Amino acid sequence: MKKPLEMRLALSAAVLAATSGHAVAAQAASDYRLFVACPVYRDTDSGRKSGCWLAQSPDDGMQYDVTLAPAKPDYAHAALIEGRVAAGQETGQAGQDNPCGGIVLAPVSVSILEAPCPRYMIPAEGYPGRRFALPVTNVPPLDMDRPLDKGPFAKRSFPLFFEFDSSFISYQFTDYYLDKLAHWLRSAHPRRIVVTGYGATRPVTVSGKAMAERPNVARERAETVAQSLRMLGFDAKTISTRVGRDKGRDRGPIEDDTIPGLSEYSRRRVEVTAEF
Amino acid sequence: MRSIVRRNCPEAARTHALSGKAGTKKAGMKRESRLVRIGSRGALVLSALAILAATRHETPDARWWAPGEDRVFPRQLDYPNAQGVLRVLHDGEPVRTADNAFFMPLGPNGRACVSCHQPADGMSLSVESIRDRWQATKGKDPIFAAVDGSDCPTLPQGERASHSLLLDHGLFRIERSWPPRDWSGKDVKPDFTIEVVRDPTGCNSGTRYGPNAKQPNISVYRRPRPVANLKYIEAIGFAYDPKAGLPVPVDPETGKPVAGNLMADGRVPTLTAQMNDAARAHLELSKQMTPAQKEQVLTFIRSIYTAQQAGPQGGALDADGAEGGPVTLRDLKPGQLGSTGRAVWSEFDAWGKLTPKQKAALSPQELAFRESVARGAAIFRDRNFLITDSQGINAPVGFGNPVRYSCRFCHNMSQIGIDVAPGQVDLGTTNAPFASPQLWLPLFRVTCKGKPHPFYGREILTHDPGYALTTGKCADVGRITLQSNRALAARAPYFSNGSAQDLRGIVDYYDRRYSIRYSEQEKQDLVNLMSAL
Ligand code: HEC
Ligand code: HEC
Repeated sequence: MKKPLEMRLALSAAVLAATSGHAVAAQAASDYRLFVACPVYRDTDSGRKSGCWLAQSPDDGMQYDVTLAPAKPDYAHAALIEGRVAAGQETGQAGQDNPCGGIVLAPVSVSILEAPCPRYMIPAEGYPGRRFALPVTNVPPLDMDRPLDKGPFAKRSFPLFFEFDSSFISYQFTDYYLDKLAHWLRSAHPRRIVVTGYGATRPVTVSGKAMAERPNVARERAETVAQSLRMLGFDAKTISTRVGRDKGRDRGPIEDDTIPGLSEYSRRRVEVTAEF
Repeated sequence: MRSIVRRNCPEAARTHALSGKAGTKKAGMKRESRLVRIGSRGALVLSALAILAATRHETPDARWWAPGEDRVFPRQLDYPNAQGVLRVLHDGEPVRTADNAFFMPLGPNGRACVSCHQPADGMSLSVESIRDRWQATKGKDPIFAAVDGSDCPTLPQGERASHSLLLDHGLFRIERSWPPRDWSGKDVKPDFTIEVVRDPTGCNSGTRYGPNAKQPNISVYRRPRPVANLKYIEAIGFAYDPKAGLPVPVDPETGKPVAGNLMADGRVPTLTAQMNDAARAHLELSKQMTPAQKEQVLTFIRSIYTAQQAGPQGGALDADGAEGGPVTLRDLKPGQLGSTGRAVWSEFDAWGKLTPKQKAALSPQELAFRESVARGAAIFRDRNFLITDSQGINAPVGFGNPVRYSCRFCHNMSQIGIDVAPGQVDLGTTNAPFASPQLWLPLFRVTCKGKPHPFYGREILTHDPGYALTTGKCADVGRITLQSNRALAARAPYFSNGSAQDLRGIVDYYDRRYSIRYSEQEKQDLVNLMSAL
């Protein structure tokens, strides 16, 4: 476990960001996974927050390690999993960087669904799990000095991503990007802030079932982000909300290095546009 | 021990044992004359002739601060208790109580803030003090006022049985409006219905009380929360509340962000709003306190720090490199996350590394106590277990359910052990099946109308819906705001519903709730740690 997976990830994200949206979609084909399963908690112990999350895909029968998702599963509920097989993880065999006993998905997103699950928990069985490290997507504390961003500032859009059917701003992930964007807005003083919510409302077949988000979720997302900006002190008069049209799956993932190649995740988003 | 001390020399006994940094080596009754700090922490001189007068009229009952008395609240007070000595620091000029609204009976029922927030009880009110007051006043002390010092105002007030929740469990009645109101006073449309399953006090049924009353309300029963170390309770560490998925909440009055850590159910955003609530509910004031009175109370309560200062053997908790006691609390910065800054309860790290020379100078009991406290702190931080089905942690934050962590996961703010983020968490202390039956408490059935609760499902049985009585969300049923872990030795019983009778009761609750399987030694170490906070 010497080559930290997170590092390789960051690398691949950088590479991806440099390639075109089309290339991302093409690469996605072979290593892309999208399925629904009851998550399994593997009770590994390398200190705090070191438990493993596994999920067996009903589509290919393989056991995936989804622990690197920014928001973890709940063993009492089914999970929608979208991820890409991390480089060098194609077989999930021993000897690979495999601390949990599953094929590592990274990047990966987990959405908790309402459907109940039987609370699967298995022992560590010799797997170490991952020692907790503070993610880079961690909001700095308020007492930290943060110089304002330097201009010049021009029209710019920032995406924020959400779990399935949810407008909850997830901890140490979406809140980090929201905070970054708020910091930029504070530096840039745009004339208008347009918040556009999107939902994956056109159905997609996942593990044999058609799945679509609630029609309202796009508006809820936009409202939540607009409310957050107001709570952070931005003038309500400069903020407007809209609902964007879901273009469906065909468009492929939007080009953004926060969730490279996760096309479903990228449909569940808000775009905050600063206009001058 | 305590009773002897109390009768003869209430606030001064055993001070000789306290070699603490802000302490005095002078013992005896004259200690009430006070200390003034000069320069940096530690340098102390006796002074304050001006206050000497105040000490003279001190009565044997001085441990109890009665409303309306004319006394001086000094810079430092020490109170013996079963675990050692509690110290209360007042970071400001001595206060004459007859002139200070915190001590004045402002309303018709003769109570003052101090009635329920007593210095000797860590600025809360222990059930022991409550019983003492019943005895000493034959039930006439204003704390027993019908409004919330009895199980229900409809009961015959002269009888002990009508005050059983206060006398047996230290619980005051808290009446919340139904439907809930938000911070700006607007009705919230709840996403659940509430029915009364059991009403042992009678205060949740009829035409005046309960959800079916003409003006619907819900009565729950709660412990007073300590009014001390408030800079920590008010501190905002981060701009976001991970449990809400939003920035930290904003006070509608000022438009400013707030910490969200007040009251068991987070029903007020600020100390000012809290005072309005207290004046109306506890003091039965028909009009508001004046701005000057509010300012006076705020200044006073913000200047109070309290923590245990000496242990059961009389040894100072800040001896030999340790940093227990309220001085550290007073002098350090609030709102810091223990996992990235000063580790929670690292105050006692030095006692885990005593030199042979230091050890040799201690009695076997004192040495054993210190080592146990240091181990307790390490257990609190690092003895991990699986935290499950606790709303506010296992959902909706994204930590996962279950998640492996320790006591400090939730109790994460340095020096105080509250949550740096707004700390409403469902430990199960008020919800079935985790809460003990507590037949003396009301029991409600909450039915979620929309989405079911992620862990309990559609129906929840609860003694106190907690935060849900503020938000109107069934997902928040049983979420209770974490409270200060300081001055615990002075203010049993514990948890907002008084369900843990003693410190061991706290550990036993967690051990059962999360199937931790602490060893007997680990339990004892945690108890010793908590006794020293
Ligand atoms: C009859 C007893 C009583 C009186 C009198 C009283 N309180 Fe309280 N106080 C309580 C109780 C009980 C709570 C906890 C309520 C809850 O959690 O819902 C509390 C909570 C508080 C808190 C919240 C602390 C925290 O960390 O959440 C503050 C501050 C406070 N009181 C200040 C005051 C002030 C100021 C006054 C006088 C205006 C006052 N109290 C009068 C019983 C009382
Ligand atoms: C999942 C979050 C969580 C964890 C883990 C946790 N606590 Fe708590 N703790 C709380 C909450 C919430 C409260 C307030 C509950 C109440 O008042 O009913 C609390 C209250 C307390 C109190 C204060 C009681 C009082 O009346 O002032 C103490 C002491 C305490 N916990 C100790 C511990 C210890 C020891 C552990 C580890 C065994 C622990 N806690 C683990 C959430 C947690």
